[in-house]
Amino acid sequence: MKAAVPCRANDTASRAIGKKAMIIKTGNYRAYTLNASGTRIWGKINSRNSERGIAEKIFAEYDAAKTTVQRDVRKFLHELEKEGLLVMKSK
Amino acid sequence: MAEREIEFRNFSPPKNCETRLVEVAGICTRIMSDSPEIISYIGKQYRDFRSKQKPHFCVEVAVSNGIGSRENTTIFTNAKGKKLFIECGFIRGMIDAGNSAGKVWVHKGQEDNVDVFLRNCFSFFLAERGGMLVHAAALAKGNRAFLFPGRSGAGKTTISMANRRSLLVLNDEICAIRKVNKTLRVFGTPFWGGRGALAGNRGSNKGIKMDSVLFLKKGRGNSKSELPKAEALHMLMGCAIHMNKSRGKTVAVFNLCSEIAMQSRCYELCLEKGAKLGGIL
Repeated sequence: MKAAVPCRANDTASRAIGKKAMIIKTGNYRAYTLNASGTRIWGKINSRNSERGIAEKIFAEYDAAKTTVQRDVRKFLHELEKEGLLVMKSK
Repeated sequence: MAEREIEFRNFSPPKNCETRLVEVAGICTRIMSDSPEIISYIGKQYRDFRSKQKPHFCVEVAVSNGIGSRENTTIFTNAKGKKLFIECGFIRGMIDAGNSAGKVWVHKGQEDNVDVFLRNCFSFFLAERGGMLVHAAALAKGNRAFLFPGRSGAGKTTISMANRRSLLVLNDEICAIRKVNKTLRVFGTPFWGGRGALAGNRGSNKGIKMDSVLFLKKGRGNSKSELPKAEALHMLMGCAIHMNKSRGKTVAVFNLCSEIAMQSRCYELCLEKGAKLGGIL
């Protein structure tokens, strides 16, 4: 089975401001501000990187255990999906 | 309120109707009505916003006895974001961006309620032309405008009233922001808050270059601290008056707010009641 790839939801727009990013969900006009780590992950969601690929890239940038990074990335993507900011699509 | 409940004609002006041209932030509307009360109200309330330019949209105002008071406001746009329906207070109306027109029924004796509809019209059509309305007081010093965004009770009218002798008050409640020749400009509007209106203010139709955005915070002592841009953007989005909920227009308002946050200095301003802004700005 091919891995699902995280994609930004169609009804979102985002803007990076300094180390943070803001996402707006145009469907319900809700705004979300991401912290620096969240912004790094959001920047890697591009319909090509798989969850594992994103975790690999984040691991290369941060001084942290690989399992910790994988767990945190998964948790964050799950939160984004729950808020409707992200959809998982089969590649 | 279903679309079919409003008979949306092609805005052929009624017989014996008079027209008034009113503009906010360079966006002009032709207001047509056969009601002398409406024409008189528009002439008085929008005196400083009269226009001579070609209208961008038309609004027909009809007075009727059948528009009851509604405590709850119903506002929604159709799927394509081209039509907006509004029912609140003593008004019921619709805006059609496709026809660049709107029609509103106002309950007889409640002519001032037409402000609510016009405010929504300008919010809708400003978004079509790269601008927006924002819940904010705006004060100007020379050619620099200072924006004080905030919801009701934030202190916008208080700060406007306390400084109206030394600074130009563009508005104490709702301002327009629009990019003109690549420069962000703050415009006054005729839509004042309760106390501002009572003080006899009519607004200023000037567009002044945006200098800073200052979010009011109640507290002891006077202080000003710089806000992180992301936080300022989040707070600004919360104050934007955004009626056209289509994706394109929502993104346009988001981008405009982002530009404001990026290009302007943003602060959190703590002021004691009645404090003067002179030294702080």
